[in-house]
Amino acid sequence: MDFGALAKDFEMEKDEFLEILNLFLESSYDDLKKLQSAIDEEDSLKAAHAAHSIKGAAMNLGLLEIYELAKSIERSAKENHLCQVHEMAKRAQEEIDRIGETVVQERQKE
Amino acid sequence: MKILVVDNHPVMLKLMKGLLEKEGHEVQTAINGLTALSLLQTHTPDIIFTDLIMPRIDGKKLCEIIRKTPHLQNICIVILSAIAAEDEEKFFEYGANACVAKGPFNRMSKHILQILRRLEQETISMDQVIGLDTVFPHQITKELLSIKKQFDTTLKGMIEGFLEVTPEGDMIYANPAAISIIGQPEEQLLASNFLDLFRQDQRKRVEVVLQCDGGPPKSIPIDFPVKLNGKEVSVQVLPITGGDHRSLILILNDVTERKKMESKLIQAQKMEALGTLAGGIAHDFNNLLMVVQGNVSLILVDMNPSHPHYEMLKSIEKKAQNGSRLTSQLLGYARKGRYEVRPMLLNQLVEETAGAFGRTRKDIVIHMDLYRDLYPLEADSGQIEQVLMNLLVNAADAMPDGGTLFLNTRNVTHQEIESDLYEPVPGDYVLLSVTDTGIGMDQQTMTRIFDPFFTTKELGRGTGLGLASAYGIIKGHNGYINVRSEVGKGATFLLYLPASKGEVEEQAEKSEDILKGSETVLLVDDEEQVLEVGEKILKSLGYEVLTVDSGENGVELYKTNRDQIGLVILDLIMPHKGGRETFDALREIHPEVKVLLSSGYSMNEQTMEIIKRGCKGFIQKPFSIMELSQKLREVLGNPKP
Repeated sequence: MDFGALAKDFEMEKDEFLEILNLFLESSYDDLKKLQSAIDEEDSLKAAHAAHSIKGAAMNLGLLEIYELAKSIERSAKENHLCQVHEMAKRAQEEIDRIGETVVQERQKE
Repeated sequence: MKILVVDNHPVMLKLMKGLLEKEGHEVQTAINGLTALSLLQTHTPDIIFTDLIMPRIDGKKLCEIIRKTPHLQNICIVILSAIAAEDEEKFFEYGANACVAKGPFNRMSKHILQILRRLEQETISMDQVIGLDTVFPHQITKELLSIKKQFDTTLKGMIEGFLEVTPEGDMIYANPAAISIIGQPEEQLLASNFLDLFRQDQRKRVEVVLQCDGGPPKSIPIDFPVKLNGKEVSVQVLPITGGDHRSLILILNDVTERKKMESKLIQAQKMEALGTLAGGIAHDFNNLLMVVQGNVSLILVDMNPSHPHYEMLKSIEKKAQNGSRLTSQLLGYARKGRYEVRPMLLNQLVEETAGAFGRTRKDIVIHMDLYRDLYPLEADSGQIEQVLMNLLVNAADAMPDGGTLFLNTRNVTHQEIESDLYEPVPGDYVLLSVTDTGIGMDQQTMTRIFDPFFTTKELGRGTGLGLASAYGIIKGHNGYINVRSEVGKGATFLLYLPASKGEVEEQAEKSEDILKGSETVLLVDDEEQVLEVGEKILKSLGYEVLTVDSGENGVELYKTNRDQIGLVILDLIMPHKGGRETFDALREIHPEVKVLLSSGYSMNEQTMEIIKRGCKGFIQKPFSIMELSQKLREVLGNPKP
């Protein structure tokens, strides 16, 4: 993932963009936690809300893989397919972890 | 420009802040409507960018509040949302100036800058969402939104007030019922504190209920409501936990009407229970007095007035009569009254009673303003006189050093009846008001003055029955009694009695003669002593007497002696076969049987019914020799020569 190009697209300095990504990671980990507890509690509405939150921010930042995943989670949650939600939540976690690692690498480069 | 951005996602806030500050604007952020409103108390931005769906006061409500708050009205509002476009939300209808669709921020930012540029030149108002091309389909969001709408519709239709408050007590949602109970416009209500709605003395209770300490939910019960906006309100608290934001749902119930009904019911039940008790006591007491008075008058008939015991016996007879007056007060309260109801003129009675009373208290000036064309009443004049006398005596007691009494009568309709406790039956009424210039009374005393045995007079002076019997008698006449008073400002009693269409007849003067006879009288009473004294009285009047102690025996005896028995004196209340059943059985034997009912209770519906079915008359115990002698001749006709 080329954060340099993405930052440019957003007319931001790379630093600034990384900072926003950090914020995204923080809030998304928060949402993932809520998603997990929603799955445990079998609360599909709460799960949908958590996915909705990740989805919005991912879209804003142009993180399309995460956006698509979050969208699917939201839909499955709405349809009460918590098993699928659980599967996809794991993938979303991995995807977000990956972005986290990239951000760390980018920071170390500087 | 000064800009406020409201969004519940930190990434969006950060993106917006970055973008706008780069353009040289002064930016503040808020994570929901509630935080935004508290910021707006001290800061007035030029533009607000706001998300639509947020916890704790959403974007739509925020717009509406801003548009209804005078010093915020001119702020330009731009909505940041994709659903506004898809859901056919008419964002400009709730006061927003423009709407930018949310999407990838690199494209969204261009639209925002475009709007800012146009804003710097002119005030804009657009009814189209900008940047829709950047929006991805939002089907699911729409579904989430539709759940919210279902809730909204449900809450709007609820009779109960539904409030959502933060753990600190700030109100973030109020349905129309809650707004109407609280009585303040929504824009003032939201973001203000729930506790501030209560008077200081009520606040502590509400505060305790709102504290959610993890224990079971607390409530302010219907039985013990709080005062809110002049209403009695119960509050049920439902804590919402587990979500992002802790909050409390409060269900408000306006129980004012219910409380009013309850107090009416309690009052009615109390009066009823005491009435039954008082009536029972009066009944037994009258039977005792019957024996005392009967025996004394029998002794007196044969006694020479020069006898050393004559005056003592006279005194006993007089006290027995006083006792009988006391029981008639009790019976009046118990509403077992309505002895002799006939059309009467109230003015005449007021003039006579007040005249007699005035002669006993010269230091009291009586002013009468009696309406000349007053409707007649259908009433027992003796009882109404008793009521008026009680009121006059009380008024005089309230003015120990003299004063003025005002007696007014006039015609009114049910609409003019002042009362919190009654719903007057529609129709015409006659109002008699009795006003004194005495010491008056406080609210607490006023709520109790019609209770029997309640008195403010010193021990031995008041029985506590005067007003209670007044109340019972007026109720018994389907009327209403009310009082107005303040400490030190005198008191006014208002009596409302239903007007009558009947013609008033002149009443014949009562004779004081003792009338004798010689027929055979069958006396039926379960009280042995009443039988004894009754027999003696009847014999002293010249009658032949047969006595029996039960209805069954009475019927048996009548069967075998029907040709001989001229009249039956029948007690109304007896065990087993009561007066009514006995009367029916006697009638079966002989349809023209002459029966005089007698009772320790005064005339009531039961007696009236028996009289309607052919019973010849009624006499209340204790009766004097004279009364009984006259009643007997009334039923039997002139004595045979």
